[in-house]
Amino acid sequence: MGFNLSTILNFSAILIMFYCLYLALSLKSSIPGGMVGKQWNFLTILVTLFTFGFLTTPFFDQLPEDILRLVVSLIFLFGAIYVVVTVRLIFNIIRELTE
Amino acid sequence: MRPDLILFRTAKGEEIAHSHSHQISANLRRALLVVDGKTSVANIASKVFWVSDVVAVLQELYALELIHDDISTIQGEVSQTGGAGLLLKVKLANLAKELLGNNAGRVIKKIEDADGTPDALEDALLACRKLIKLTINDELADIFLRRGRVLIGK
Repeated sequence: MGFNLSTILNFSAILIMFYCLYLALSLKSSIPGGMVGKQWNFLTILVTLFTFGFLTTPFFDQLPEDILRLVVSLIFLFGAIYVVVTVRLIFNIIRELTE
Repeated sequence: MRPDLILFRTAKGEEIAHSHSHQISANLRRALLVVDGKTSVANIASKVFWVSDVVAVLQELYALELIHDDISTIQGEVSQTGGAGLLLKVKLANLAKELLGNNAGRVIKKIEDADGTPDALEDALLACRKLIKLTINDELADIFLRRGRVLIGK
């Protein structure tokens, strides 16, 4: 039951990440530059990184524990960076729109 | 007269439309007032039931040089929302194309959607500046606003 649930969650996360990558790449052509455009490139790189990272999750049980801890730590780190970039972007957009 | 033709009032047409003189008949005047530089002849003919024989009346207004389909003929004042306002929009759209190239589409749409008065166009310019700054190029945003204001006389 535990295995099935984690597998379902992993595949859901991968699907959602692919959808996110699709959205990021689709919007790219509409945001060639400017304040959002610059940040969008970075966000797209992070989303691509997460997509590949998430693809490895079904094989986590085959990884040595040290490597597994490192991968999870890296996901947390880049996740935190992603959140900071997104929040700063929203902050800047709101500031610009309310000027 | 082609059904897809977009007509606008000339400076002379604007003057008559906004005056209360009786230089033209009431039917011609009603037709002159519905010409807005946005609606095609076909749309005017289908919607404007209060003008009898609309297409013929438009042809008459055209012959009197009160309306036109060639924007370069406009020499009116910039405070009017008809032909002269349309000319300003064209100038602003050209400025957007010059500065932003292929990325000018959304900016031009904002300008087209605005009314033709200088105040409305200035509001549109400010909105365009934000759009350019956020999604196209930070530096060009202020240049666009500055040059746009010069064009509309602000």
